[in-house]
Amino acid sequence: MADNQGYYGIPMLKRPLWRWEIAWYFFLEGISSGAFILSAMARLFGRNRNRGLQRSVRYLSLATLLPCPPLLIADLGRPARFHHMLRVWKRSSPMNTGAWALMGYSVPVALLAFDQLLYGRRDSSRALQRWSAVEMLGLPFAFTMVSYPGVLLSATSTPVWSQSPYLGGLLACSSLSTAASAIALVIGLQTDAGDHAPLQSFEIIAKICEGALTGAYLASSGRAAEPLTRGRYAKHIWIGAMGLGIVLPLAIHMASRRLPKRQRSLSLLSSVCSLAGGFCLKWAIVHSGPVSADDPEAARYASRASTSKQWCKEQLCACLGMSCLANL
Amino acid sequence: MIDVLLSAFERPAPPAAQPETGFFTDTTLCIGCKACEVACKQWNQLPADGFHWTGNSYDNTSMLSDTSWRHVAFVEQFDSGAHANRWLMMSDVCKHCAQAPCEEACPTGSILYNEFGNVYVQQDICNGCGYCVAACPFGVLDRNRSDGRAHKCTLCYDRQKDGMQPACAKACPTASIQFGPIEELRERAKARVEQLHARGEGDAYLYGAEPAGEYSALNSFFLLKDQPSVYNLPDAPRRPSAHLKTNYLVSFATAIGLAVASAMLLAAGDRSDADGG
Amino acid sequence: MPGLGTSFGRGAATGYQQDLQNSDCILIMGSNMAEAHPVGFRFPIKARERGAKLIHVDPHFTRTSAMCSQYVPIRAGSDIAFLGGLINYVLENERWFREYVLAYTNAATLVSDQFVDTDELDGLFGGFDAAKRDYDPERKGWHYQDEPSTPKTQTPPEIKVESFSERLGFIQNPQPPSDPSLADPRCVMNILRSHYKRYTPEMVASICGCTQQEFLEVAEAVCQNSGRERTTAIVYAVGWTQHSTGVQIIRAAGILQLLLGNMGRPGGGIMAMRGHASIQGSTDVPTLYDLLPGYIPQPAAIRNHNSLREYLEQEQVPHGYWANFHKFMVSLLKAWYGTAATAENEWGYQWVPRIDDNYSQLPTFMRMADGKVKGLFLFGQNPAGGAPNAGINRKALRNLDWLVVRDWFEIESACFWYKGPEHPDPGTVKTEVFFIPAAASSEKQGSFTNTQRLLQWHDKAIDPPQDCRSDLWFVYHLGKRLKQLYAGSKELRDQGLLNLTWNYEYRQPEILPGGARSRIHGEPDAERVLREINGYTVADGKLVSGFSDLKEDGSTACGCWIYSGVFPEEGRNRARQRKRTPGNLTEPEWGFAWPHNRRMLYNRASADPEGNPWSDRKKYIWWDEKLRKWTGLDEPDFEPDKPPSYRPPPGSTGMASIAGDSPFIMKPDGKGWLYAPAGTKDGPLPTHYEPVESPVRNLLYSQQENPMVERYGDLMNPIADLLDPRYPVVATTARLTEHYLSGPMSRFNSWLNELQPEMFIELSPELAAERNIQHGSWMVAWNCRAAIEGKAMVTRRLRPLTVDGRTLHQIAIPFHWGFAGETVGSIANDLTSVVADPNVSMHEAKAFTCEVRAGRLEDTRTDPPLPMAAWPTRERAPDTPDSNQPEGQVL
Ligand SMILES: Nc1nc2c(c(=O)[nH]1)N[C@H]1C(S)=C(S)[C@@H](COP(=O)(O)OP(=O)(O)OC[C@H]3O[C@@H](n4cnc5c(=O)[nH]c(N)nc54)[C@H](O)[C@@H]3O)O[C@H]1N2
Ligand SMILES: Nc1nc2c(c(=O)[nH]1)N[C@H]1C(S)=C(S)[C@@H](COP(=O)(O)OP(=O)(O)OC[C@H]3O[C@@H](n4cnc5c(=O)[nH]c(N)nc54)[C@H](O)[C@@H]3O)O[C@H]1N2
Ligand code: SF4
Ligand code: SF4
Ligand code: SF4
Ligand code: SF4
Ligand code: SF4
Ligand SMILES: [Mo]
Repeated sequence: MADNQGYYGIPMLKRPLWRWEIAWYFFLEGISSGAFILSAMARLFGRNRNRGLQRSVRYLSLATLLPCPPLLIADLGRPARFHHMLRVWKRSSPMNTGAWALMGYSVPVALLAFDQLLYGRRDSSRALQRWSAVEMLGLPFAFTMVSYPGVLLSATSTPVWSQSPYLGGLLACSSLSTAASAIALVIGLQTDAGDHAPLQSFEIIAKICEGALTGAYLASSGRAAEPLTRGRYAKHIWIGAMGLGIVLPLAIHMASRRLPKRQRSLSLLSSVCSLAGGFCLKWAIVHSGPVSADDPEAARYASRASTSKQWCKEQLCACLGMSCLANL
Repeated sequence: MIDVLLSAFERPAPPAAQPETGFFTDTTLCIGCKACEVACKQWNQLPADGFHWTGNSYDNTSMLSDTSWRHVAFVEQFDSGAHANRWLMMSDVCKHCAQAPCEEACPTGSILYNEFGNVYVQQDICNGCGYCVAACPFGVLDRNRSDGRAHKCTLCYDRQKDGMQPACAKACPTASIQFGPIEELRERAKARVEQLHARGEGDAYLYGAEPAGEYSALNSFFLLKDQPSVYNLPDAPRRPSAHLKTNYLVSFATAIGLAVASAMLLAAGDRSDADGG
Repeated sequence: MPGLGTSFGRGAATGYQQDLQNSDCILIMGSNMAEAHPVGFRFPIKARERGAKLIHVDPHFTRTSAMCSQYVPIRAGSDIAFLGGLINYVLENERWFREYVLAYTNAATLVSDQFVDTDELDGLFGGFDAAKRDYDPERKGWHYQDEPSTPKTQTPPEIKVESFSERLGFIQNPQPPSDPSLADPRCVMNILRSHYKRYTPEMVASICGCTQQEFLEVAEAVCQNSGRERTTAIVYAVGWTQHSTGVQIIRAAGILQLLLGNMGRPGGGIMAMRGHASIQGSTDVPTLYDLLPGYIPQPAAIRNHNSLREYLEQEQVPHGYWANFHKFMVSLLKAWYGTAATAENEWGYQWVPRIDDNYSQLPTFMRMADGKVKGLFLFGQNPAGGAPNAGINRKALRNLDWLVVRDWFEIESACFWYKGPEHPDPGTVKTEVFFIPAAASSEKQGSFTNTQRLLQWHDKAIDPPQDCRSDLWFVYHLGKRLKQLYAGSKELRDQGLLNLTWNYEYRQPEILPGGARSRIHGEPDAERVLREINGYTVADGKLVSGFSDLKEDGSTACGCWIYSGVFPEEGRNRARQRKRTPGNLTEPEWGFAWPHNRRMLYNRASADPEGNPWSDRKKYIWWDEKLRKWTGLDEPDFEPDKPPSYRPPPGSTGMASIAGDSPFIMKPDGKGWLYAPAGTKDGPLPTHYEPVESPVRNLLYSQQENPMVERYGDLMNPIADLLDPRYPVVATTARLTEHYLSGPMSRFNSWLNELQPEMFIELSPELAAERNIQHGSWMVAWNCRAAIEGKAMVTRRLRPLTVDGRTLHQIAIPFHWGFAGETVGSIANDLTSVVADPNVSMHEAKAFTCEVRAGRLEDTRTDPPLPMAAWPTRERAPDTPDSNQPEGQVL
């Protein structure tokens, strides 16, 4: 009984069926719900001073949310049965949770955006206040929307997704950071009012966090992460997500601090890079699933006989290691 | 139209529970005749998957799929060593996991446990979301290209309802596939392993007869003669939902943590900076 | 199957498959039982699970080998050497079952002093006439002492299945001289010893290519598992029959089983695994040219068969059960010709056609290829792919004027005029082909007689679609029209046709299982045919209860005496019985086994000479002194009230001449024949000869091949030279579970095609390396007859053998592909030759020579396959009906 025997190299698992629709969906709903959260934070803690931001977010959230349902429906084998998602309420199924969250989330987003559209110009600060309760109610849904995609992927048998506890965190982080960049971009394009400094600082923190989580995710996935570290989607990760999405924006931030005058184009570039990087990350992660499922060795690695205790320990080590790295 | 929409939400009372049934597949009795594969296709009117000669011993269907619900694996072991002169054959099928990841994943409730305790895909409910496909740790389910729904072994639910045994078990000439009440099968299987051990076949063991690690028992379990991976089975299947809580926790913690950070920054920013808008 | 007939009296499997679970050891040789008889194979597995040892001796490791405790590789065509080795081992080590052998076999019988064995003549028995390539009846001296040296009847070489008496091994004296002390050097036992003493373990290993150790392990296993307490069974199929020595291989197995005392006993016997669904039935009620129903010989123009009296006299056997032969013959004529058959016209005997030559399949197709056959009806056969040297067969078909093919599909033998490896130009093929669609088995009623002589009736489930009709319908209506065509003819040759009883149509309208009336007009009622086969008294049409009711005075009619009893009374078709008998493996109320529902033949031998079981473990039938009859688990294959102590009075005939301790009641002396003084054309004892094509010299004798081998069409059918260096590789052909014969029944079915979708050739890694052939790539195998291609299946399941000190390679070729169907590929039978066993004209598809190389044929044009079946249901993926969904009743 030699180790590492397989069965003629035939895949042990079936390929997940999710492709570009879902990558786009994760990207867009991440921006939408991330922005929603940031705007709510701004309202709660920014004491009404971030009106421009909040206004933009209302449109941004809706605009990025609108393509989501069609994308999801297009992804189904039987699109006409989309509503079957809501036949049941099932905590064990993140997809079901996600479907309900999407339902719950779209109501406040729609209400807020319509309100903004109808009354925003006339009476903007009143309008913002009037619906604060709705916004608060939307917040849990938005948090779920931000948090569930990675969990959904993790709750599969696809090795590249299922080996690490950090995928959910990583995607959540990426959603918030892309949301921040998207807001920055929208604001930046609208006016020449200069950078929104807290948002900029948040982006930096989120980027660092994202870098750390990417590292933690890849390291704790071990051999299973191969499609992302060395395989077909490595360039998406290293050049796209890490380079474009994290290193370059951070570098731009650093650089622009040294510059005497704020360069609008630089910050716009940074936002675009950050968005592109975030997209690369989600694209790569969604698309690495089928590659990973096709690799029987990864499947054997993922199903290696290890007790869950051992697994936890490994994960903990990886986690500590990465946070050290991130702190450096 | 409305009726059709609404009917999806109707859930009539389930039929009364019956004794749980399952399969015990004893690979030491399998002669690799593939009658089970053909019987399944014939009974369920499934199409052929195509004509691809693989050269992988006598296995030309390679794996379970949406249109192959039984699959017989062939492993030639002729290298010198303990297992010289063996030709292992094993008829694979959906494991009907006692706690099935596909069922847990299914967002529509299409997959459920029927009255016989079998994992069953309701074809009138499935919307082809594909979650079960990725969830199953055995690579059993797949979505059909032409009808967009997920398919797998039904454990011949229609036959069981009529008091018949599944087509594959019926066709199996050597009783390699044994169908029956699951408790009885587990007893029988244990006795069988003891019998084989007594006969000097120490390598025989049961796969999935009992919960192992985080994974539940399988209601369709196997007697194997070599490592699971030799038959393209996971050595220790993982139950995706076992980590759901941790994953949600990490995920929400990250989101909330970052939200808090943003709140702090915004609050601080208000003090120092002018309104950016 | 004269191999079995000559040894035991009947040419049929001696037991039933369920009985294999009683075996302590099963030697599977020349059969790939798990693949070719997977359902029956459950019984060897049951035996294995009860601790029996299963042994597979085969050129390639198959799914059967995988299930056995021991696998022994062997060179194709070397079985007599192996079995001879086993016989020698049993004799040398005195492992034979003394009481059994002395009582139940001809071991003690004395053989004529004129007999000269192969040892003296280097592979020939005495009496061989080299010029005639035949054993000269006047000089051969194979007979027992005190017998006339030439038997009463002698079959000319043209006729394959010998005369009735020869088939049984005719002897005039039912108690030939014998020496129970076995001291006489002329007694069978001593002849056997000296004949097989050359077959030592060393010799076996160097001829067969297995190791001595492997051989000895087998020998020990069969010896240890035979005797009073234990039994060994032998299973064979066409891995033995398809050889130029096929009959003698089976004879060798018979000798071994008799010596070990395994015949007629539970878990013993020789299980001949037969082929096509009712192939046993097609020899019982034969489609053979030289037999009438029930193994009655076809009258021959070249024998003294001018009148019925002469025919009967000539074919009569005075001793044993065949003494009743004339009753069966007269009843048969009565069944055929009805009221037209009278004592005055010899019951119509003169209307029965006479044969004057060998009209078996091989020579017939040779004649056809020569243009001597004008028309052909082809019912359910595919010679364009399935018959040896298929190229000649296709050529033969292209030489016909007309051809009627009745089949389910447009098979190779129906599309040979525009398809095939020769790529014929349809314009130049003159054959006019009439393709007539046939009904499938579920679309007609009738019976199957399976490998264990069990008749099982099947009803019609549905009407055949469109113009498909049952073969019975076709033949019946063809007959009616022919009768009309010849009506009024006064020619003698037409009288047989005109006088045939020919009325089988349903008396009431035919009703289908659902209750509906059948759509088919004029469908014959197969049960009416079965009733005629069973027999009836002519006066009142009352069914007879069995063959013992049959009379020679024309008062009974019976279509096939051995089946008599299958329909013993009105409304009781025993073939239709499906009652289980728990606790009794013979399942006497499931179907009907001929003769007389006996499941195991010669079962008198399961008791010792006094009539008591040999052991408690192996009891089967025994003499009950109180009831004064034989009882037990089966119908006794013996007169039920003949006590073991019965001794025939001098001069007695018929069954009266069979003693109470003689189990082989078909044999004139009631004994199992270790030595066959008559019955086989190529010698009284099996002798190892090499296959006609072999890269190896016969290591035992200088006589290389069977001296009596049949050869045909020298030019059309070239044979490799002796030890031809061009063709060093031994090839054998074999079956796969997934396909059926030349393929029509499987290659038109997508579910089967996907399981084995392409023609391949199995070879060892060593041979592949020598010839630079890659696993999974194309390879070519060729010999002097043809070249074929296939994918290379390089596998350790084939291994090089060391034969005569040299490395010898073997390949295994499945013979299931052709150019019609959904998957197409080269035809293995293009490589095989038309040479045959002298006793039954069975071809030698199991051992021939060839050479292999990597790559494809020069001519890579192939015929396009049919498309894969579309999804068989209307909806693209079938729904379980909604009402059957656990939650979905409402949708
Ligand atoms: N699936 C399937 N089942 C079938 C059929 C089929 O086509 N497909 N055909 C049916 C018919 S018609 C028949 S007659 C039977 C035949 O049934 P089998 O005789 O069992 O079938 P084969 O595979 O032709 O040959 C049996 C074995 O003989 C071996 N063999 C070849 N040459 C020799 C030799 O010289 N010595 C020894 N010892 N072994 C040798 C071959 O390697 C092979 O494993 O099967 C019947 N059942
Ligand atoms: N090389 C090699 N050659 C061999 C053998 C071998 O082992 N090696 N085996 C030999 C043996 S044992 C056999 S039995 C022969 C078999 O050779 P064939 O007798 O030619 O057998 P098949 O190729 O199955 O052809 C049978 C045909 O009958 C048709 N059929 C089936 N049912 C019915 C029916 O009810 N009515 C009618 N009208 N047609 C029907 C099928 O569609 C099929 O076309 O092959 C022999 N050839
Ligand atoms: S084996 Fe896969 S498809 Fe079958 S019940 Fe388990 S998880 Fe579901
Ligand atoms: S594809 Fe169908 S069965 Fe599978 S999870 Fe989705 S809805 Fe459930
Ligand atoms: S139980 Fe039924 S559906 Fe499942 S593999 Fe067997 S035959 Fe197919
Ligand atoms: S039917 Fe039975 S013996 Fe045949 S391949 Fe399937 S499990 Fe094995
Ligand atoms: S094909 Fe028919 S006859 Fe042959 S093994 Fe299967 S069930 Fe028996
Ligand atoms: Mo056959």
